[in-house]
Amino acid sequence: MNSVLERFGDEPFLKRTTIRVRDMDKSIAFYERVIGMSQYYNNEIVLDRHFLPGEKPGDKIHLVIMKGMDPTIGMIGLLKWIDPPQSPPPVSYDFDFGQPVFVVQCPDAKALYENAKELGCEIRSALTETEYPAAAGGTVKVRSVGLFDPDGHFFECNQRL
Amino acid sequence: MTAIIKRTTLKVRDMEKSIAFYEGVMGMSKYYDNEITLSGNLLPGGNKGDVTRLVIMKGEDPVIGMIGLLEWMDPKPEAPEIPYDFDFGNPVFVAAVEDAEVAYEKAQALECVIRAPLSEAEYPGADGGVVKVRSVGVFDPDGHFFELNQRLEG
Repeated sequence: MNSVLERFGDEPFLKRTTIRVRDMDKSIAFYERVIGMSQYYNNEIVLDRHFLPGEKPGDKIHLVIMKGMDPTIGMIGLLKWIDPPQSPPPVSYDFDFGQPVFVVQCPDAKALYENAKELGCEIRSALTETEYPAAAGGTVKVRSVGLFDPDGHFFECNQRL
Repeated sequence: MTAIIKRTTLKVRDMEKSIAFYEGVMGMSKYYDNEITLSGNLLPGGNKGDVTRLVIMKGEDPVIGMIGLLEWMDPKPEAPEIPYDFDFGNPVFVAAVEDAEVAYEKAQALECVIRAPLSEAEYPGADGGVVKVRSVGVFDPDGHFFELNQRLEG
């Protein structure tokens, strides 16, 4: 058994969430400079097995995987269709059925907010403080920033107080 | 500064059906289950006073890789037809499984929409080699796509 299966046992575990991006360099800049991730994988792949919804055999994609502190889980895949080129719709800055919200724990919400502003990110909610019911009872107090990545995926970034 | 992506939260139509998928197919368990009244300040698409139910499902790791399931309780939204697609704005979840065939059978037992039954493929690996996987492609009850990969030798 390899070390990953030793760590996670025999249940499935989520390695990453992959999202479609319009401009790979803009997306990498966001995940590096705002979220603090680094590139783990960067390859072009030709699709050939009718697996991914929307794919056709022979389509070529560019896949970049960004990793955080954990080497196995919590990664983000950035996927750009190269061939045939795509005509993306306007970015929808919303949270509706089918759209993910990424919940992030950060050491300093103000610093993250400054980095996001510097990069010209769309900010939904500047620094706010709030309390939620905690998993173990009691309350959790957080300082939060709500912002969007370049493709309109919403990030709720929380600093635990 | 490195932040940690703790979870991905999804808007769901039927909380009990979603919990059954994440327990039955993904082997996750409930970590959190609460009603939350929104402030209207943070979450897009939410108004001040909206009542939601948030269930967080966790896997083996106690901190990251979790899935949040969020159902609007009041007001009840009108949910669109499920597109079963992977378009801009939609996530694809990539999961490692010990046995893709078992995962496939669990998904079938729960009557999940199956996009791709068992197949095998090779990809370029992160370290320059080749990764061989046996995979199943399934949708959760709200049409979020899951690529479930069993790593093969080679």
